[in-house]
Amino acid sequence: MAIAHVAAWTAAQFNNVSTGTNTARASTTNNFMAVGVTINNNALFSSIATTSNTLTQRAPASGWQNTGGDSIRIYAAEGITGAASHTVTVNTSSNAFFVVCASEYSGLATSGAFDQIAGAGVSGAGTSFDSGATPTTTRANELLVGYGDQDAGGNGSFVAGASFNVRSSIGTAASGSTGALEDRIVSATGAYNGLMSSSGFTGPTGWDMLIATFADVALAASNTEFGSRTNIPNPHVGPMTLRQGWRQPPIYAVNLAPITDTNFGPPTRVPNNRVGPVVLRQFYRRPSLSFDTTNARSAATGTPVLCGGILNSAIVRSGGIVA
Amino acid sequence: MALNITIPAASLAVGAHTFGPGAIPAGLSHAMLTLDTTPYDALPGPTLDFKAELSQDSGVSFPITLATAKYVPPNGSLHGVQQHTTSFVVDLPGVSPAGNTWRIRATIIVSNQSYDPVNTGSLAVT
Repeated sequence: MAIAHVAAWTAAQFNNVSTGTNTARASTTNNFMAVGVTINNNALFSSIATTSNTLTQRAPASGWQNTGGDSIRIYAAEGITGAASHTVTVNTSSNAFFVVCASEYSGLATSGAFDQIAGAGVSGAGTSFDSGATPTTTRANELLVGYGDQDAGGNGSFVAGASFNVRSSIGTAASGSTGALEDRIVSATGAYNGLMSSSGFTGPTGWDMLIATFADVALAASNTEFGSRTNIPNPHVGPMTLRQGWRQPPIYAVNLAPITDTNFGPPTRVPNNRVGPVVLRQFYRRPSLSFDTTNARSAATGTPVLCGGILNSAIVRSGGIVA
Repeated sequence: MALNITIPAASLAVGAHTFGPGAIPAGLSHAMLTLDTTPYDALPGPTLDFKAELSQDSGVSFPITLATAKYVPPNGSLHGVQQHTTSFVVDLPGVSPAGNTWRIRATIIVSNQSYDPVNTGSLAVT
């Protein structure tokens, strides 16, 4: 099924409040939902929630895009659970000024759709927004979601960039923050820019622009390391435990050469005339043995043994008994 | 022609208070509900839940909640300027058609004091 825009939620601007919920509309199960948020002070942002679904921040990768003044983010929910009365609610820790724009799409992967992002902003005059280019998209058929805001006074409007369509926007800067959500459906891989412009605002002082792309089929998991790297000491190649269900952690410094002649544990001195059982500390190496014969005596005569002993493989180097 | 429903200055008892409804003329597309939350006195300002509701059957029912918001004192600041006005702006579900039976009303819910002072406000449809 081709990617298509279904409908947008009514854009809503909330001013000097701690909770805001937009106008409800019906949504369809397994569709895709994109949400753009602007807030005047991101330190006050607490949470965002939507009926029966979880929104995941997609752009920027972390934090906020806030070069131009107010802060913006793009959230998404893939494979949504539809609801007859579907809303988006933003909560803040103290009264704030924020905007919520959202739109619904069909034809996207119900999981693993998220692909690429880019973001940029300008502090100062300017009404042409450009997120910068994303890395090359993975799939030919993707949805590009752009979200931008204008820091300014007065009231204005937003104009979609080339090949984009604005689906939800608020331009009443005189009373609070602004924002506009736009989209573009592409059929070829490429590095795409989120483009938008504004008109009619008074004294623009900055803008921010984000783009996030989403694919029609689930993207393969990238070659991602899970957990920390662990060096396996030579020559102990022990059992390996997968930390994830489907990826084996990388293995470093594995030496499959034959086990070298290595002593395990320190030599152990055997007390005089008491050569008892010897326990190997490892399965395949015997510890070195040495006998202290300094005070040994003849069992027959009691005469001291002046020298003698056994060293390595029972070789008698020298010895004797003096009568 | 725009529609403007005035919310007069008053001390509101705990509970829900409805203002309107008013008939929406043709050709309008969005609503703005505004409340002046400047305290009358030294008492803390009110905690308010407020919403705008839409009827499309001449006011028999109001099934569409255009938006809801909660105001909690103290006031927030916008670009460093302290604000004493609380509001939200939201689009209507399309441009109001000629001969429509649309009605709109505002509801303020007071929950934290016996009487909360609310300065003037309005629900404007433009």
